[in-house]
Amino acid sequence: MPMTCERTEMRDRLSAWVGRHDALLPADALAVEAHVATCVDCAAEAVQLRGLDEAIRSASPHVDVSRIVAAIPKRGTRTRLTGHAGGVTVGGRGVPRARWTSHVSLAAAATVLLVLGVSVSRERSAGITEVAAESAAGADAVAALALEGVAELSDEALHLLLDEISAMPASPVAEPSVMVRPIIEPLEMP
Amino acid sequence: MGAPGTFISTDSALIARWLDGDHAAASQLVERHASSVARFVASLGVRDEVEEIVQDAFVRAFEALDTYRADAPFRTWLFTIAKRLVFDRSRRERRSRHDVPLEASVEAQTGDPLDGLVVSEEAARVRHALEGLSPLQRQVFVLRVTDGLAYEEIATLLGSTAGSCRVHYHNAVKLLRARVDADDV
Repeated sequence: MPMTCERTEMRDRLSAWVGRHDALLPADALAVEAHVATCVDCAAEAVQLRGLDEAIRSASPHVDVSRIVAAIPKRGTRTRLTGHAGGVTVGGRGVPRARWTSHVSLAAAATVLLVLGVSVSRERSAGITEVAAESAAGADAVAALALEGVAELSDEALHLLLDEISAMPASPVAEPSVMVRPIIEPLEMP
Repeated sequence: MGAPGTFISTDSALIARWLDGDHAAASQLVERHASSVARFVASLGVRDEVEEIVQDAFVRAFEALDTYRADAPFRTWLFTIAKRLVFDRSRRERRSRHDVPLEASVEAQTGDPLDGLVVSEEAARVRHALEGLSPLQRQVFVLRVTDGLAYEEIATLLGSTAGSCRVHYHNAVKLLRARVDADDV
């Protein structure tokens, strides 16, 4: 059945009214509610939209809110290394972070390469060797963590490693202050 | 459901509380938005690691909250970060496969985006209704109806225009109505 209601401003607000009333200003929500009460077309569409909305919500992927909350740093704290390989503490809460661990290892490997004087795109090295003084202790720990693994890398693995470093996650709109940032910035690909 | 019109201001209040050191405010923000972010990530075609990406998005968002200026709703900001993470993930995996084109790589690792969005058998009805939509129509529809985003927000998120998103939404509704009507016959 085609939609014949010509109140486009109401039709535009119908989805917000169905899905999330608080997306509308109170006056707009009341206006849509009053309109739906008298418009057969919009009432029928609201029923269909609500059914789809509820089904989509119920079928959405499950996420463990408590785990996510546990990973969020407390105000005034920063991500820091725990001192044991593979462990990263977020906000001092000791939350395992497999993916970050991977990134820290990669950053650590890159740091070792730079510290040992390995030529990694010399022309691109300017600007990435700066290690903040306040992070020196952390950098040493990171380097120590990575040293053993890097020493065993083949040339092919080394190239893959550098590719991985260059592909490390780009910044969101505003860059978070993750511990690895002061240590090294991702290499730019040519 | 909260009182109409209080959603964004409440987000801002919670953010202010967290910035003042109240960690419980983070919990409320996560509870409020985690499902939406997960749904959005799934709608981008991610099947595995949805929760990891959602978690990373929240962690990054909170670590950058000092610079958040609230010129966009917090949820839209989370979506933007999550989208970036999904693209970074796809790019990383593409590099690891070298010669596989991006689109093929994303498809190979994620399968049909609907599989991520619609995961339960009970949702077969939704799947049937939604599968007739293009990916863009589907994303616009879900963001508009289920997450309540304005066309302008959706446009920013999907790299489109508000007018185009409006057209996609109305086309989606038209197709869905036709499909539902056909099922009723």
